[in-house]
Amino acid sequence: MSTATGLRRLLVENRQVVFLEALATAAALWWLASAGFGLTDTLSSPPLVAAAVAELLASGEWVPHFSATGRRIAYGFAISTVLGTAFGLLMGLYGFWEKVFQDYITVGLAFPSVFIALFAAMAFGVGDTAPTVTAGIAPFPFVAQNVYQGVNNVDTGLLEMARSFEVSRIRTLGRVVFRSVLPEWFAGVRYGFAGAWKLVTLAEAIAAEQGVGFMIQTELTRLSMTGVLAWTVLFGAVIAVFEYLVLRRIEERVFDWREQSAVAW
Amino acid sequence: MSEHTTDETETDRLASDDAAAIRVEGLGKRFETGEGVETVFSDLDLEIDPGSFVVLIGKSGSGKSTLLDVISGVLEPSEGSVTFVPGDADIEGNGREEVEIGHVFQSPRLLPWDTAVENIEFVHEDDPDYTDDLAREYLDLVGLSEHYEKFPGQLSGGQRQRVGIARALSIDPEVLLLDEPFSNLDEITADSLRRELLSVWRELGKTVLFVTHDITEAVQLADRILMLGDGEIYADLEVDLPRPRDVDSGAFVRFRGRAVERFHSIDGGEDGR
Amino acid sequence: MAVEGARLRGGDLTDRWLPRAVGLGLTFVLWWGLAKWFELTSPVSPIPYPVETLTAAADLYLTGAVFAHLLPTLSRIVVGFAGAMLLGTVAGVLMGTTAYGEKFLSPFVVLGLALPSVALAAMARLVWGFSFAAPTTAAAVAVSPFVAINVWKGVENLDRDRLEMARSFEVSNRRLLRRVLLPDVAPALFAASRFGVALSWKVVTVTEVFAAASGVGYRVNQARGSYQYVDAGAWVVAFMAVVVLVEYGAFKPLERRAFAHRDDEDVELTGAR
Repeated sequence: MSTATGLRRLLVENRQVVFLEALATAAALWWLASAGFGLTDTLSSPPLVAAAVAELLASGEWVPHFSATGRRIAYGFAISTVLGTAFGLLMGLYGFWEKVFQDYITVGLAFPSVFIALFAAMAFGVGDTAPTVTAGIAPFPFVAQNVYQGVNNVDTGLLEMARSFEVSRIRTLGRVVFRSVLPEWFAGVRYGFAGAWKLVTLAEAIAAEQGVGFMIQTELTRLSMTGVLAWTVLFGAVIAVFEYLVLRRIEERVFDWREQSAVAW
Repeated sequence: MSEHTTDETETDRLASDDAAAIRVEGLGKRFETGEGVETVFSDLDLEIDPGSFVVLIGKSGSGKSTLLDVISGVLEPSEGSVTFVPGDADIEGNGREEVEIGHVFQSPRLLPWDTAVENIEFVHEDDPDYTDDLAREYLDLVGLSEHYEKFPGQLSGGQRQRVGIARALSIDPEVLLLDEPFSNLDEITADSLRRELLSVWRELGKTVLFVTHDITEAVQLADRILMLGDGEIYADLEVDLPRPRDVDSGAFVRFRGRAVERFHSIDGGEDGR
Repeated sequence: MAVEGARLRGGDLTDRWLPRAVGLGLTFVLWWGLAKWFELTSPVSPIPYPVETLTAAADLYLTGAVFAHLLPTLSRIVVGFAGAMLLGTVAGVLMGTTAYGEKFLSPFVVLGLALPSVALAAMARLVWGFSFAAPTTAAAVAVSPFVAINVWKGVENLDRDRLEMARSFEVSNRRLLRRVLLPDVAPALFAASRFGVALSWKVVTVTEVFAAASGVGYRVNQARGSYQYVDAGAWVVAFMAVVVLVEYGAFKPLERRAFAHRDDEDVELTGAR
């Protein structure tokens, strides 16, 4: 109608604009707190961090650390996915193993991953192994639980239908069971990925000679909030990009039947 | 409403071999539950003629779906046998190898991640004659020409059930088993699907065993009505009304009245609709 | 009757306790095997044996030495979690009831969920030093987005029809809150609490490694630093004893009750970290 309503609509209802508003509010509060209270040493400030990030990028210092961390994330993630899927399938298909491992899952979900990181550091010292093992073990109960629940939730009606049409077991497994479990599996895998990068950085902070976590720990010992934030922000940005560009795309492709069906409701 | 033509080629391609007869002897089914053994039915003997439309009716819990499951092979019988006798009568054993059985369920049971065509393709494993065109022809037959590539989530309840029917028909079965296929649909959709089913049946000449709890539906569709209750078939009615059947006609109403009486003869009056 | 009863109990024994026993036994074997493997292949043996670890842990409890670090950790968890529940519930309600709230707060929630625990711990250390506040605020910050999401979903899924019904009967606000709103949102609140507490103890222990001079996290790290493997293991076990107690003693039974009347909860939402 009028420009006033149009403006209001833009400011309040447009998601991107509101996002910027949130960003601006956070940045403003931060800046205020640090500059206003003279806490730039402890709290740092947006311009300081921005400058530090720029410098990291320009100097290329970020490359060896990001590639080390990336490598460990990839390995750890692969391990937790394989382990979790295998366990989940075992539990989903065989009632006996379901009961055996039920407690593993309960305890595993509750177990503080930092202890795993500490023991891995003790066992493997500095290097790729400790972070990889931590990232491989800690998230796997969640993946297992997701897969196992997915298998349990396969629609028995569909299985009966397949049987009544004399469809072979293999085809049923591939076209019905696998497709049915896929969303839950995917959710578990995403979780495994999120767990992987949090745990790898944690393990690196405890015991490593390079990597993003190692650098955060280094900045910590230098008591540099700016340093810690610079590495965190850069790392977060890379993860966010990966999530949006890669994971989202895959998810959309695999589940496009869901999107189409949702629209039709 | 489906608009199937009496196109020669279509009918030729879709017409089946002779329909099969179903022979049931001494059939019984028991379940072991927490409290003991529950007998759903026992000692059933039936002979269903090829090409006939038989409706099995019973109240909820009468075991009619179980009986259908045993006949279709989803469940194993506790005793007795089910034999399928195709038109060209050479069979070994119970005929399940030789006779194709198509099953339509109460809920459509479609794979939600596959399109209508893919859902039909799913049941054609090891079928050298299958092509996607075949699937599309059957979808045409049930009036879904505009919906080949839709996912079940994009279809209405009635449309989904039609896909289920097309799927069952597409394997060119000698026997068609339907388990209350229209009871989850609104009356208008159900009515039009009933008429389509009848016309498909007349054209393709298959043996149909149809389960329902609705007497009006039974009288509308059946050549023969079997009533199941208390673990046995307690009534077997010939429906000699001429087709097409007019639900409002005096003959229909009278016949249905008798059927309802017969239906309730087994116990002291519950509402069987 | 007697025979049946005995059979049932016998079945129960093998059905539930045998697998558990297998699981427990497997744990011991794997643990022992791991410890042995390291002992044989590595210059140091960083994995302590089951028996020595468990006895050391029991010792901690018997001598009361455990409380010096267990109590600080537990108090941080409680306070941090309380803070998270407060912050998260407010945010969740805002997100669930206003469109602007959802759009404005979502980025913060996403950010909170995406923050690596090590960064959070480092930040807490730099702001608060080695103190009570560091692990507590870290927990509050890490857990509130999680609570917010659960509360948001709970509020979003509130049954509006039921609310209108109650209003149409002019039910008082107090009764409305207690008998309609609260029970409706209870499962979401419960999910938020249950997994919020679990997340809290994880964040607190991590932060204690980097930003505290007491607490179980700090203690285990300290033991690790001085190569006291059995000691480290003992503290982990001692802490896990509390965790297991809370999980099996409080959450599992409560979970069954809170979800008794609902079966539509979103499993993904309630996943823990």
